[in-house]
Amino acid sequence: MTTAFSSLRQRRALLLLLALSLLAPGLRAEEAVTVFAAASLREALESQAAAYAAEGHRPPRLVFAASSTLARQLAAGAEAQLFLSADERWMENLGEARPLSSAPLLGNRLALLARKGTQPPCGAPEPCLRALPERLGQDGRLALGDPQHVPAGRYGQAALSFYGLLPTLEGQLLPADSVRTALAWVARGEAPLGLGYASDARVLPALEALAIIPAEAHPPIIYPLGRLLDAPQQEDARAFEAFLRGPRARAAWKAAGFTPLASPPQS
Amino acid sequence: MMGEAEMLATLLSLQVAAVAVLGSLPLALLVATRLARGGRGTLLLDALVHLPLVLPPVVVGYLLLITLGTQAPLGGWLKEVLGLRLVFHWTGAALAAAVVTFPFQVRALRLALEAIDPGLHRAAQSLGLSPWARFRRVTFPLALPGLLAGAITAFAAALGEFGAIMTFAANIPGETQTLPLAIYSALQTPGGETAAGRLVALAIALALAGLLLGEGAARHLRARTGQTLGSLR
Repeated sequence: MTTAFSSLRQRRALLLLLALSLLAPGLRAEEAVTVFAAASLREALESQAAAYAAEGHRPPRLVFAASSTLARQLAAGAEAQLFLSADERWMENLGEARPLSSAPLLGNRLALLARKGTQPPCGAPEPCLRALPERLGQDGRLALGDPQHVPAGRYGQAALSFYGLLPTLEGQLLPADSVRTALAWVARGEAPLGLGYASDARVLPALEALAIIPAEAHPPIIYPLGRLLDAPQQEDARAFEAFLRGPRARAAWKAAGFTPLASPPQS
Repeated sequence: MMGEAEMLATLLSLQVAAVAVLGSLPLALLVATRLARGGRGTLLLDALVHLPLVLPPVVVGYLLLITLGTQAPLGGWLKEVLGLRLVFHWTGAALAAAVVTFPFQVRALRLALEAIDPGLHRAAQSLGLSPWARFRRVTFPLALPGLLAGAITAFAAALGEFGAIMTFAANIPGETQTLPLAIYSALQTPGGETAAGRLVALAIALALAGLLLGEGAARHLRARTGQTLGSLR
C-alpha cells in the first residue's frame, strides 16, 4: 500500500477522480427525465425512448424492475418523473405517498408460455388451461410472478382460481420476483410452463405463447402512466408523457403486443 | 405473535444454514489443511476459495443455476442418476448458502491451523504417533476454536444469504423462502411493513445470537486449550 499512489501527482489524480465520481450522479440527474417502468415493458419502452431521442430530445433514463419494487422505491423518495406500473393497485399505493397525476396508458393480455417446441399446441384456450395439471405432471412447475406482489403473478393467480386450478396447482407454482425472471426460468427449461404477458412472447425468442388467457378469467390488465408532481423538470416529463400517449407511440405499442388505451385530454 | 408463515421461514432458515455449514465443514477442513501447509498452488486455491466472498451472490446463484439446473449436463445427470434435484428446492438453497459462506469457515480454520506450533507435530511424531493420531490428538483439538468460530460465523452468514438463494432456489413459501426472502416478499406487498418488521427483528436476533455464540465458544475453547489465537478474528 505504501508504494501505490505514492507520488503527490498520483495522489492528486486519484483525489480528482474521486471528486468527479461523486459529482457524476448529480450531473446525470440534472439532465434526463427518469422513468421507472414495469419489467414487462423493457424492450417496448426502450425503443420508444430511442425514437423520442431521435426526435432531438434528451434520452430519458429508464429503470426497470417489478412494479412493486419500483412503487416502494418511489414512495421512499426515489428521484423519477414518470412511473409506468403494470397494475393500478401499485399506482394507487404510490398516490398515497406522493402527489401524482395518473391515467391508463396500455392494456395487455395474459398468456400461457412455453419454450418453443417443447409443448404440444394448445388449441382452444379454455380446455387447454383446464388440462394444465396433466401438462405439468407430478413435478413440473408453473413459473409466474410472485402473486403476493408482482402484477403478472396476481393476474395469473386470479386466472388459475377462475378455472378452479388453484387448489391442485398451489404446490407447483414457482413464484419469481418479476415476470421476466419467471419467463427466464421457462426459457431455460427449468420450468416447463409459465404465465406471462402476450407481449413477452414477442420479445423473448425462446418462448411461444401456447394460449392467450381469456380476458374474463382475471381483472383487466391496465398499465397506468403516472407523473410525480413533486419531481423536478415537470416540463420535460410532460413532453415525454405526451410522446408516449401520442399517435406514433401508439403504433409502436401495438406492434409490441400491447393495447394502447384511450388517451386522456392533456393537462 | 408469530404467524405460521414466519415460523416456517425461520425454521427453514435454520435448517438451510445448519445443512450448509455442517455439509461443507469436512471440505473446509480439507481445504484449510492444504492451505495451511503452503506450497505450490496455494495462492490460486486461496483465491478460488475466496471467490464467493467477493463475487456478487447473484452471480454465485446464476453459476449454480447454469451448472446444476436440470437442463445443464451436471444437473441433469444428478437428477437422472441420483434423483437429486437441487434447483428450486431447499437443498439447493443450502448449497447456495454453503458456497457463499465457505470462505468464512476456511479462513477461520486456516488461521487456527497456522497458529499451531509446528514443534508439537514434531514432538508427536517423535513419540511415534501415526498421522491420523496426530491429527486426532494434536491438530484437531487445537484447531477446534477456529473450527467453531468459523462454523458459527458461517451459520450466521448463511441465515442472511439472499441473492444466491433467490437466483438458484427461488422464493417459494414453505420450500425455499428463508427469512431474508420472506422479508423481501413482505416489503414488496402493500401494507406488509408489520410482517416485515417482525421478520427483521427475528433476523437481527438470530444473527446476534449466532455471532455471540461463536465468540463465546471460541473464547471458552481458547481458554481451555491455553492457546492464544488472537489472530483468529
